[in-house]
Parts: sequence; C-alpha cells; structure tokens
Amino acid sequence: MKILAFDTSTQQCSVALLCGNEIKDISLDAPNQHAELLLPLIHRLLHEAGLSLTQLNAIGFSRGPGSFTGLRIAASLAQGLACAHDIPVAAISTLQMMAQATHLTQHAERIAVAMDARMQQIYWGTFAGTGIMLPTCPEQVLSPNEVILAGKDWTAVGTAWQVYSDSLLFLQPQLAHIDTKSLPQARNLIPLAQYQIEQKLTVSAENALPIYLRDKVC
Amino acid sequence: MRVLGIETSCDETAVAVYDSQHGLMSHQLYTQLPVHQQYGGVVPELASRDHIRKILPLTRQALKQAHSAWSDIDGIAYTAGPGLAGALLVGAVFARALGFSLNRPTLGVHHLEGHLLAPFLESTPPVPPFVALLVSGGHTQLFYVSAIGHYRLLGESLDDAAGEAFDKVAKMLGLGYPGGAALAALAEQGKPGFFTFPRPLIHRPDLNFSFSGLKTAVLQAWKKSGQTDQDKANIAYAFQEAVIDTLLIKTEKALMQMHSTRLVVAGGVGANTLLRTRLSACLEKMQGQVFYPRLEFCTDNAAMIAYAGWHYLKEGKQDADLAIRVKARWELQNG
Ligand SMILES: Nc1ncnc2c1ncn2[C@@H]1O[C@H](COP(=O)(O)OP(=O)(O)OP(=O)(O)O)[C@@H](O)[C@H]1O
Ligand SMILES: [Mg+2]
Repeated sequence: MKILAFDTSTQQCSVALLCGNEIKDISLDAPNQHAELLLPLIHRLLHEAGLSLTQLNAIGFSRGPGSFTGLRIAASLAQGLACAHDIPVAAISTLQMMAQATHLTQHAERIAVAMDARMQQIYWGTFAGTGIMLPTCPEQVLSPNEVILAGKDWTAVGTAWQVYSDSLLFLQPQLAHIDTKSLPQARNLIPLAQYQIEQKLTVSAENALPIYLRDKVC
Repeated sequence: MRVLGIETSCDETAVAVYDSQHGLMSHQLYTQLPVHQQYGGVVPELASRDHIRKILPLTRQALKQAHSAWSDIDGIAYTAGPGLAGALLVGAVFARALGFSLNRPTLGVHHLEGHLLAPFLESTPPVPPFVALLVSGGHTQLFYVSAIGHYRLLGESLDDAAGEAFDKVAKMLGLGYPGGAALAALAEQGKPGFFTFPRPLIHRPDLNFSFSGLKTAVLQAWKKSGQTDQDKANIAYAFQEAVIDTLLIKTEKALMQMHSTRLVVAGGVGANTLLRTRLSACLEKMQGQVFYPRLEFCTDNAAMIAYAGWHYLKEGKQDADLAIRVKARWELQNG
C-alpha cells in the first residue's frame, strides 16, 4: 500500500508517506509557511522512496477542523495532486487523527479531543474503538461549558484542555488521563486513510473539501 | 503550447485554456457576487470558501469546452497577486499541485498584467509601445508599455480607484453593490446643467488621480437636492461626467507626454460606454488607435491570466522552485 498524507491544520506542516510497511514523515513548526514547504517536502519523500504520484493508492489530508487557511491549503493541494490521475482521496478529521495518535501511543480506547477554536470556543469530538478510533458523536464547535460527556475513563487530548482548563474542570472526574501537548501529525492520517480505502470511504478530488465546523464567519 | 489559466484573486473563480495555434479555446467563470452582495462588499473568508468548492469543477468544464485532456495541457498559469491572500492561495496551491502531478511548468501571473493584456485576446491586438489606462475596482493607473513585460507607471490614483468611486457613489444613491454599471445606466437618464462636480488634479502636470473628494461632493449635492428620481439621475450623470472627464484629460496628457497614439484600456470601468465613446473620439482626433478587451474580459477572468502566462511560459519562463508563494500586495512596474 502506498499513501501520501499531509496536515496543515495547525502551525505545524506535516507530511508522511507510507510505502509498503514503512512510514517516512517530516513535521516542521512553520507558521504561515505551509504553502512554501508542502511541495518541496512531498517531492523529497516521494523521491527518496523512488515513488511517483501515479503509484499512490490514496492521498490523505486533514480536512479540519483547524486553521481555515491551512485547511484550504491542504484541500486544494489534495485536489490538484489527485484530479488528473483520479487518485482516491481520504479526507480525514483532524480530531480523529489526534485520537488515533493517542490510541496508538497510549492504548487508550475512549478519547475526548478538544482543540482551541479561539473566540472562547473549542472544537470537540469523542472517539472510541480498538485499532481504529471512530467518532461516538458528531464533531462540534462550542463553548467549553456546553460540553456534554457521558461515562468515565476518557483520555483527554488537545490544546483546549490546557487553554480552557478552568471551564473544563467539571469534566475532571470523568478523565483518566490528560495530554494537552499533542498536535496533529501526518503519520497518524495513514491508518485512517487505510481504513477509508478498506471501507470504500475515499472520495474523488472534487470532494476533497475542508470541514470548518465554524460556519458563521461574518 | 496549450496553457491552463486560473484566477482566484477576489470574488470570481475562473479557468480558461489558451493555445498558441487555436487562441482562446475555453473560459469558465463563476461569480460569487450573490454571496457578498448582502454584506455590501467582499467577505474574504467567504470568498476563499467558495473558491475551493468551485475550482476543480470549473477546471473540468474548461478542459471539456476546450476538448482537451489533462495531458494536453503544456503549462499552467495562475494569479499570484495582488488580491486577497486566502483567495489567491486556493488557486495558486491548486495550480502548483496540478503542475506537479502532470509534470508541467507553472507560472504565477500578476493580476494587473493579466488585465493589461486582455485586449491581446481580440482579433486586432495592440502592438507595443502603447499607453495603457487600467481602471478597475482596485486600481486607476496609467502605464507606458514599451513591450509586453515592460510596464512603466506614469501615474495613479492617490486615493480611491475609479471603480471604487463608482461603487461608493452607487451605494450612497441606493443602487446596491457593486453599483458601477447601475450608476452608469442611471446616468443615461440624467440631464446636464443641474449639477457639476470637481475634476480633481486636472490642472496639475503629473498623471495622478484623486477620486475620494468626489464622493463627499456628491453626498452634499444629494442631501441638498429634492432627492427625486430625476435628481438622482442628474447626479449620476454629473458624477460620471466628472470621472470620465478626469480620466480622459489625464490619458490625453499621458499620450502626449509619451508621444504615443496607441492606447489600451483595461479593467472593469473599461466597460463604461461613455468612457469608450470619449476615448475613441479622442484617439480618432489624434489619428491613433484605442484597444479594448471585449466587455466580459474587462472584469476579472482567467482568459487574461492564461494569455499572460502563455506569453512567458512559451519562452521557457516558469516558477523557479516548488515553494508556493502568493503576494497580496504587488506593484506592477518594471521599466
Ligand atoms: N459600466 C461601468 N461603468 C463604471 N464602472 C463599472 C462599469 N462596469 C463595471 N464597473 C466597475 O468596475 C469595477 C470592477 O472591475 P474589476 O473586476 O476589473 O475590478 P477588481 O478586479 O475588483 O479590481 P482589481 O483588478 O483592481 O483588483 C467595479 O468597481 C464596477 O463597479
Ligand atoms: Mg481585477
């Protein structure tokens, strides 16, 4: 299986390539430099693996939530790379990718992801599963005090748990563990893209579109 | 050589195909006007959101209209600036990724150079050197064009652009947004002799413009008037006269200074009938020639971007590296 994946939903610019069983990736802290860095990094990974774009089984990108401009950079890149060769596209939730990462490193099976959405709001999603983390509720943008979480032993992931720690304090009894540091990484897109390929959930290039969650912008 | 052109600098998504042998083979345009109209101006975030939904469907349509496959495209040109950064990025990233996937050269084009070269898409294209008047929603500039790619700025608006003045006055008179064309249409119902507005800077020897004072004068005249429909039309008439007169006087001055009898007009206000009539008469008197784009290529489009890009791509010019860059602000001036 050969999959190219990239994430530009945060300050970080992250690219990964699955070739056989091996994932090669590069992540750089690069505020406002995503557009400058993406193609050179992709070129490097493909070149080092001796792969051409047409050999890919899929292109994965994080479709949001996250920085609006970053999401569009990833989506238009996915569209442009995929359209001429009809390469299937896996549009993957940023929140799900973070849950997947935590699942792989900490073996957590119930994960609540909260990313800072600014304007006193968070992007919120909960995931559960073994192997592949799947959503247990629709993703939302909401105020921290509007969060509803059922059950216990959740692993909390994402920057918002720190930024809004006071407002989210009421959830403390339901949490087993908190990780506020982790950022989305392109390598965590790969298993989710593989899952989408298996489940026939990939889309064509025109449907490589961002999901902003916040739709009221003016 | 067959070039795909992509334009996303503001509130139109456009894609076109230009070919060395066949000329313009297709052009597609989606205007977001209805999205922004309710806000009385372009909302950048909404513009970007619309671009990304439309860019690929429009590209497919443009290729289909040109009876072309992806592999028939020899190069890709896209607007790299000036414009709204987020909107530019959608077109630029898409174009560069497509070029990468097809292994074809790409080139970022200056939006205003696109406007200036739009008359080259017509059956009798201009031959440099010439003077160019660029009158759009964001710019009012006079250039001396010694050759394609060589633009010397002779003068420009020190404040509002002519199109902007049209739009602001139209808004004041309740004609909606963008009301330039509606204002021009209303002016046809207006009568001379009721209002006069200043022709700013016309007695100065330089080739600069200033249109921001005009809207204040119009507002005062409107407030003092009886505010009937006829008053409105008379004001529109006098306003249009003042703007077109100013453009005409400065353009004539530029032609004299440069000893040129060839004029190119480009940009949205270039669609204005009175401007065209007056400039044509002026150039006829000088036994010169004036060149306009067809009406639909006065405003933003991708045909002009495909053409401008083609001009350089066919000479082997292309983006230097794989880094994608857009420039929200970018002067067009290089000798
Ligand atoms: N018939 C007309 N008379 C006067 N103004 C007009 C007419 N038709 C269009 N306009 C004006 O032209 C402008 C739009 O032109 P254009 O699309 O070239 O500008 P823009 O792309 O917004 O600006 P720029 O290219 O400088 O960034 C608007 O201000 C509009 O009101
Ligand atoms: Mg324009």
